[in-house]
Amino acid sequence: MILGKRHENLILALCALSLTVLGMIMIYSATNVMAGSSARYGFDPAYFFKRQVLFLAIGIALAMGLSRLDHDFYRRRIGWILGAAFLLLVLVFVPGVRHSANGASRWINLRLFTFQPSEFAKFALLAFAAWAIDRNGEKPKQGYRAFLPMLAVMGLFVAVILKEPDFGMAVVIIASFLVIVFIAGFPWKLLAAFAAAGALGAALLILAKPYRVARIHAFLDPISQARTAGYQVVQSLIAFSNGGLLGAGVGGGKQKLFYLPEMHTDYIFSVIGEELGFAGVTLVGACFVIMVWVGYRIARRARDPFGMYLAMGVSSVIGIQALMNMMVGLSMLPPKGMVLPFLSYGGSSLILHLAAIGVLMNISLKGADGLATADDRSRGRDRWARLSGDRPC
Amino acid sequence: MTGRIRKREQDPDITRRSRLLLYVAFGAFALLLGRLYWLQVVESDRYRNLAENNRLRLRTVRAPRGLILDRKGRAIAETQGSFDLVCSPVDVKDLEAEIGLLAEIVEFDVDDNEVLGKIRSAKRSNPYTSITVARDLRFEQVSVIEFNRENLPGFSVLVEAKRSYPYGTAFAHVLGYVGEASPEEMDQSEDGSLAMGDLIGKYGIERLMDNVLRGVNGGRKVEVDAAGRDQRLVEEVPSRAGGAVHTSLDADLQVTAQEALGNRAGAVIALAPRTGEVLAFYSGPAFDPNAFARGIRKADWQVLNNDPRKPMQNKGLQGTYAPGSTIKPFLAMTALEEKMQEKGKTVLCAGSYRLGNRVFRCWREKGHGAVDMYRAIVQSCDVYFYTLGLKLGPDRVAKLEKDAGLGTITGIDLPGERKGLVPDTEWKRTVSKERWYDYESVILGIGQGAVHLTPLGMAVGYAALATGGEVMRPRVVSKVIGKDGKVRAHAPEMLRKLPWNPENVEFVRKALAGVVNDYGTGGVAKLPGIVVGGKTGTAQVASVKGKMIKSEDLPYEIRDHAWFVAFAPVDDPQIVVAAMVEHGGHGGSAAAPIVKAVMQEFFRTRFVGPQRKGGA
Repeated sequence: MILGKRHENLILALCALSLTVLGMIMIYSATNVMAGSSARYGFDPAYFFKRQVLFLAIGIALAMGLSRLDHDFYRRRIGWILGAAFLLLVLVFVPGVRHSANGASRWINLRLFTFQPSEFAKFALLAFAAWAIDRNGEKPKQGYRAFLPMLAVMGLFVAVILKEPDFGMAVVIIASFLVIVFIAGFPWKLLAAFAAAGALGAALLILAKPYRVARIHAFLDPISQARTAGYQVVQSLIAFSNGGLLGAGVGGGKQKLFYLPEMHTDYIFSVIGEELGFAGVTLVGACFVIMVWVGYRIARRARDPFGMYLAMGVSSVIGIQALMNMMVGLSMLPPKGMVLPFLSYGGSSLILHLAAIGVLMNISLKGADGLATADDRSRGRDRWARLSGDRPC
Repeated sequence: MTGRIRKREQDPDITRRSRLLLYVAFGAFALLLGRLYWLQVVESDRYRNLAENNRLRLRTVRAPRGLILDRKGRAIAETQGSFDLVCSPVDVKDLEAEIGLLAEIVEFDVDDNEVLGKIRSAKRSNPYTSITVARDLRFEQVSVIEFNRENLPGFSVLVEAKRSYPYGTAFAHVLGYVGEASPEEMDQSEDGSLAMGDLIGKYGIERLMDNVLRGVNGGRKVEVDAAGRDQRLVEEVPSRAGGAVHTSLDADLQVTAQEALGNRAGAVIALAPRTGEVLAFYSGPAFDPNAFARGIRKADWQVLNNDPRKPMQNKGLQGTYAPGSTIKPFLAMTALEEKMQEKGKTVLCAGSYRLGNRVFRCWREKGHGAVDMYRAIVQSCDVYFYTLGLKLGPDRVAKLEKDAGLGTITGIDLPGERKGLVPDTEWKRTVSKERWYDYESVILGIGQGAVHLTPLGMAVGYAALATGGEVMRPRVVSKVIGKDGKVRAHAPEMLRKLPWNPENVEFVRKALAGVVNDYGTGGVAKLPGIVVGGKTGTAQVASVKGKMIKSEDLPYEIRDHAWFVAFAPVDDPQIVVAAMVEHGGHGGSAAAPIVKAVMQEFFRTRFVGPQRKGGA
């Protein structure tokens, strides 16, 4: 990992690391009572914390490696990457290899820890979308000929992911896919049609499973169902309001003490809300906004179209997933079960998101020194770009 | 695949679009911040209250139900701790495996699949409740469960208060049983004091004295965690235990009565004639009230309900039977009081009596010869009483019998009493719109026909004979110690004093003593040193045409009911015992030994002086 080459890389790394470290503190705060009293975790209060530290180390090593690997590698090896992603995804349906929890088989059991292939598939699909757009010639007005084959591959992956089921991941993948094709300049009508079809499909999927309908119902009126379907949402809201402006202090939250389910994974944001208050969550949100912003800037400086779309995709996926997770915690979106990048406990998610930061850094390194857009230059908005451009590489 | 890296040219469209997206992201973030600000700063209190409700639960602390004691202060109904197996659905990891393991250790309240279904549905709809799946575990079972703790994460053993009846089936019909209050009962409870799952008396003394026995529930406001587990006590209102009910029952006598009746169907009632105190009151077959306290299994309930011998019926006050010959002393008393027939007048018994073209047989085929009133009672001569019944007519007999308590509601402090029937011409007119036929008077003389009485009514009637006309209200409860600690005694209550001529009473008592002691039909009940007076009864259930058939040779359902009602000592009666055995055959052989056993037990601990006067 090369810091300092660009301020952007430094900012990116700082944001990712501080979010991860904050996440680890909150994970410890959220789980020490639970893990310390559970035989399953060997009565070790730091069980989750220690594992997350291990994941962080792996993630940093991977990010450092990937930041030195030219991102064109992914374009050249896209077939292998997609194939591996699909193979891993299918493995979750193989008995003996799969690991199930809460009625979903989203994981592969690697004895020491479990791996969530859909996390990898998410990034593989981003690379695929970037590759497809690049291959069809960047210049817009790309019609159905380019769009439909992309859609077919996406659809196949999403179908498998929905089968696990991992509804949240499917939503994130589709949303970031839409962002990429939007930026690539696909016709509006096409995207609108796709979005409408997607919404219809999502509605049908929701109606197909009673628990999803219950979640929607609970989303619309969580308090009336505070003891049943609205339980998580209401507990999360309570956590936020307990936090107030400045929070109850790290370790001071009560909701995590068995009230808030999955507090160290899907609902870590609520724990932050309770313990660090409005101030804390604002900072966390700001970190994500900065990362997305920086990610977009890196994309615009990218050496080649593939790199640009990949950078767009990676930063979009981080932003979309973070936004959705936070909105679920605040009951602005119906619950769908997804982790908060960098903060939530979980090896696959943390390692792969750190790796993605490594990829972003490489795109940044290989990119132009400054933003070449005449538009930007003339308005003189991009101080960061100019500043960084002034420095030697 | 394209091998070369294509240099990209700057595209203002892309910049425009990505900037647009960035604005969308900023917008979403602003929305998020707004929502956060609303939740965390503006509306903070609203959810904080919700959080409080979330954490505080009001737990009912059930008040222990009061004791029921026998006359010697022994508990015959008490509240004990019971080890119950409780499931907390949210903690269950592998339901099938855990249930499978438990099924080897305990017996569930309902069958295994039903338990499985119950927990499964609770897991979905209400995972934070607890469900009692098995009650009253033995210590060994508790130990095995605790030993397997690790494999049974969703289950725990709790100590719960349980109603317990140490004498088992013996007091079943008197004490009744308790059960969980039904929704209707909860609505009806005057102060809304009945909580879900509270035990309430459903039958017997438990029901009648429910307001005394039932305590006042207390409450604990506790802070719980998400799993509903108690974390901290916030406030506590102690419960108030229920009051005690003292009864006049004697557990030794009750057990003796139960053992004497054995597994036959029938009733045994022992009264103190001068006070109306019930000393023993057994109805068989009985049920086990302990089974109800645990929450009776459906299958067990069906067995009880479908039993043709009706274990749920209190035969002592709900069963009505033809009295047979036990009615004869009342006819004799009527004749004497009404001066319709001298005791010395003899009637010739040749084994049968003819009225018009109908023949009424005496139980003794070869007849008793010439019998006067004394011998007619002692020998239980049917012919004598056929003629006497005809002579007296139904109305005079009915009046005296009803005065003595027969065919009336005696007013015992147990629920569900039936009065039976003492027929008269009035009744005949209103019920069957027919006149009274003479043959009815004839068979009424030996306690057959329309007449049917409860064993309790019979016991009260004999108590009146024993005391010379004192009709006492029979009662089980002697004293109540309320929840407030105040003692209220239930004093003896005389319903009426009949103006019977003491001479006549003396004669009937002597005749009844003769039944037992002067080679009469009740010789079996003779006790050494104590003069017992009583009367046998063998009540026909079905009339058998043709020659006499021994009752024992008939099918069970149409065998005769056997009666024996007696009091002792004759010159100072302290106890009256009525025994009725359904389809038991002869009163002298089937019922009299029961009375003897009860009296023997009664006098075992009491010294009876020859000249003692003035009651027990």
